[in-house]
Amino acid sequence: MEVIISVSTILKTKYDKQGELWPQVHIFINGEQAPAGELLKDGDRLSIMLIIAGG
Amino acid sequence: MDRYSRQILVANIGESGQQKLLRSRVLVVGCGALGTVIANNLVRAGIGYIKIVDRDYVELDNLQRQMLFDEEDVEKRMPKALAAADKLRRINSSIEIEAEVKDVTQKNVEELIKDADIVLDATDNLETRLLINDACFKHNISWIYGAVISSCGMTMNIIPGETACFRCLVPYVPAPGSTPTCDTVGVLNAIPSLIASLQSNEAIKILLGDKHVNQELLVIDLMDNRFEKIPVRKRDDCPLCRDGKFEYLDKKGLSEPIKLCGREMVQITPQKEMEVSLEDLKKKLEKVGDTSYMGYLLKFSVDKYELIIFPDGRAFVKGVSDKETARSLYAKYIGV
Repeated sequence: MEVIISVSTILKTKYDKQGELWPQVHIFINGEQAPAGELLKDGDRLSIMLIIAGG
Repeated sequence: MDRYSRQILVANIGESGQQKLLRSRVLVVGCGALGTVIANNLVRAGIGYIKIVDRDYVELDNLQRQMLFDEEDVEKRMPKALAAADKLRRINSSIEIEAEVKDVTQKNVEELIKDADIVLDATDNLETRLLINDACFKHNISWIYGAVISSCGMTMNIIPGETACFRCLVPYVPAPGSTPTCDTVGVLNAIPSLIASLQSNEAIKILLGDKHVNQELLVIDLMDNRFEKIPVRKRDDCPLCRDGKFEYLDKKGLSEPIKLCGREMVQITPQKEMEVSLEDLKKKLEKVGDTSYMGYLLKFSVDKYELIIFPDGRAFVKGVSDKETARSLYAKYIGV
């Protein structure tokens, strides 16, 4: 299975010490928010993104 | 109206649209890289009333990207809101520009936003955005999230009752240190100009009631020239959208700075108990200042300030006498 993965270039850590995703990290499949447990299919585009705060 | 002639020629604006803009009231929260560009664009576009709020003063390393400031502002340590307003009045003296040097808090946010037709976010931390989100939702005012870091930027229009809200994106304030900041990983000057221009353009469209308003999260990374539009759904468990709970406005989610008696020191305690990886934070901060990690605390010195950070996210900010500067340093270097 081939999945295209794009990770936000500034994302170094995604999990806190309890192994939970940080609240500002989002997973999108094919440009849409992925519900928990969503399975990937061949050709899917997975984006892992951090909601940023600088201004 | 002559000064706006080229804008009036744009099909969706015209004379009536320009009159509408001249009657509009906008609040810009934050006057850094995003805020200066937003304010500049809106002042030139003829928004009738613009209020700029910022707690900080101009420093030399701001000049790379904060477009309304110069070396004289640095020398005079000018508050950003006042320096910006001064420049903007010289650009357009026919509109009303107001500047307030203050920290946006749960105590003043409703007063600040209440007369605005739209709020433009140019802040530097998630906590203030969650507060703006609560206040704007409560008063049914649209606001535009914008943020930048490194080569990345993102923006989203938040229209109460229509789009997802900011808590659908960030349900609660993350642990201190988990969010990189412009002061720890840097920022290119093109990205805030781009995001701020998108924000000001969306603001104009919303004020005009244009139907082409963006409904998605727009993400840009200039390093690999990636532009993505991502639909954001309302969360089924969003305390604000679903339950109408204003937890940040009601002060349940905010960190509270406390001035320590008789000392040049302010303590900041996150409202929610959280665990911070001091080792990870040290790796980030050692690039911008002196750090020493003692296992139970992290000491970080930059300029004349010292931050002592504990594993529960609490920090002593030494060398400051006011809460606003302490909050600003915490947001800059620890990041929430």
